[in-house]
Amino acid sequence: MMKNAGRIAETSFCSRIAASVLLASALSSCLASAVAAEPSVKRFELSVPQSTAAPQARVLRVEKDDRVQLIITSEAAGEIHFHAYRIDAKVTPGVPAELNFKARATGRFRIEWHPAGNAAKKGHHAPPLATLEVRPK
Amino acid sequence: MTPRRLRCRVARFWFATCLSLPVPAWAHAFGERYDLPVPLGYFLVGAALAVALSFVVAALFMRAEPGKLRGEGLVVSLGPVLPALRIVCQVLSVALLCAVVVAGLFGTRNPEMNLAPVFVWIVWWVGLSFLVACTGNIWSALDPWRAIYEWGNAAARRAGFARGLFLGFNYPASLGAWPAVFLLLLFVWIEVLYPHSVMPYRLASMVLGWSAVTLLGMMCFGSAAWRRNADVFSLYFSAIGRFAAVGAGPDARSIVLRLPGSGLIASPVKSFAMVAFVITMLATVLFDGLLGTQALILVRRAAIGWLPQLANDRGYFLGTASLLFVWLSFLGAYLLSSFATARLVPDRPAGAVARLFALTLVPIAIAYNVAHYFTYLVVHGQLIIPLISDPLGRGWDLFGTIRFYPDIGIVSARATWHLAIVSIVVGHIISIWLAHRLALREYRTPGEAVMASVPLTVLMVVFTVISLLVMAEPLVQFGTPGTPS
Repeated sequence: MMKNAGRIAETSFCSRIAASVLLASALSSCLASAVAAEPSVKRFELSVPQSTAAPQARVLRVEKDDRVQLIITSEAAGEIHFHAYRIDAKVTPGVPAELNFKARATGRFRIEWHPAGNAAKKGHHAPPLATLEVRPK
Repeated sequence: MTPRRLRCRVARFWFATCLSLPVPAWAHAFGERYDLPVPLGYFLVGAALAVALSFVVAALFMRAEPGKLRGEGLVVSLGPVLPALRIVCQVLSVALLCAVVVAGLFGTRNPEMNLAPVFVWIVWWVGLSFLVACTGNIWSALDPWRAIYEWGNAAARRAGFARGLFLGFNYPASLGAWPAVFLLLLFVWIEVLYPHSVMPYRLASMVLGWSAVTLLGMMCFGSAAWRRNADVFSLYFSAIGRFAAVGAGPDARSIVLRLPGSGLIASPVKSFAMVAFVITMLATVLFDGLLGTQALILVRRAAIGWLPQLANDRGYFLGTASLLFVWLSFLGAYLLSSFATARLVPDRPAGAVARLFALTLVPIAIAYNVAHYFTYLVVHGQLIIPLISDPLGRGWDLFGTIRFYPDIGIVSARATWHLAIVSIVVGHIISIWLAHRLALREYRTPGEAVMASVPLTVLMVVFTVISLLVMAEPLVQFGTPGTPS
């Protein structure tokens, strides 16, 4: 079981996993699948800055069939949308929201943040709060 | 509406919401694409294969005898089947055009629950390109505007107008096919950069606008002259259809079966504008792929650092500039290779060389299409399944498919990577092979033919590597591994 705790912004763990996955797939895909045989739980904490959503997209990297746990804290009310997986949750200030799901489909998916009361405002859409990359084993 | 169906619709709505909102970062028509960048290992293997196989093709064809390479197709007569099929296609196509316009104008404003954007951007533009590459240019039978004009023309003749709807203007020869080149660039600009291109109402308005322009054009200059010079879709699907193993026969009742790709070297394009058109086909797909990459987001960020005003224009300026930049560089690179060929074998001028080999690039354009859009078509194309039951978003369920929800895991990332690499390498090899065949036919000796196709082969290797680079995004993977700095 791999645990990946702490603010994603401070961890280089993810990039190391990604680098090793890359290397492994380049060298041998058999090796890669042997290493990642057991699904693991990946935990990420995202916090929404008070003013606007994150200026830079963060990339959360997991492998297919991993259990993913997202903890979202925000100082303002809003909603978190993870459209591709059809998951969304309301976030109230001070109360962390938790999303649990299995990374069943591979790809690169956006996780969006919608501040409360701003959802209907068309013509502007903030960059994604984070991007989830689900890589094949 | 049952609760379950309601839930399903709500779920589809969420799937749709983010896509319906214009995003500041550019994206292909339906916003979010799920493709993962191709890993570096695949990229290196693909690039190495492209280079190695190019040499193999060149070496094999150095010894080939030109006389044996002239393969004529096999003409198959289908009797009255073909004209009947054509009428069915025309009726169906005109009905679909009407449905798209009605759905766009009067249906729901949510793009994913409206027939117009899903049909136009996914089924028609992406799906039909793939189909035409396999089945030949069926667009000439499907073209609803051509059908409407032909029907109107026949009706006018019967009503006693000798010329039908034709107003009798001569198409200005100096314009050539340049209107089509401009329109293809404009079309791709709308597809990729215009954030409202998926808005049903705007899309339907644009479809109506184009209908008016193209019908008026056919009336002024005649159907054939318009489709040959200005009708971007006729020229686009015709170029792709030349790749297919099926072609139009000598009369309306027959088809030609031929080797895939041989239609591309049957006759060279007639004008320099058509050279530019083929290059545009190539460059625009690559441009779309480029926009999805993190690399261009970094470029945008850097540009905004220089010129803060750029942040407020939703990427229009930078997007338009990079579209023109990619197009002009591709055109420049191709012309350079033509000049090099004319210098190496002073048999014909560079302009003639450019026209001679232009269509051999079409397999690369098709390969780019497959590499960039196949997964997109298969994943997002599933939206059409619930839509055929409820084309206007009114809560109907005509065929019982309304509950269908797209399966985003239908193609694995690994399958997509394999497909992308294989299609690009194979497309590249077909292009090189065609160019060699053409050179052997057009130049006097095999030695000259090989010399003549060296610059083009080099260029094709470069195109292939660039295309693989765009999909692998190695700059981003090596430079910034995605985590914030």
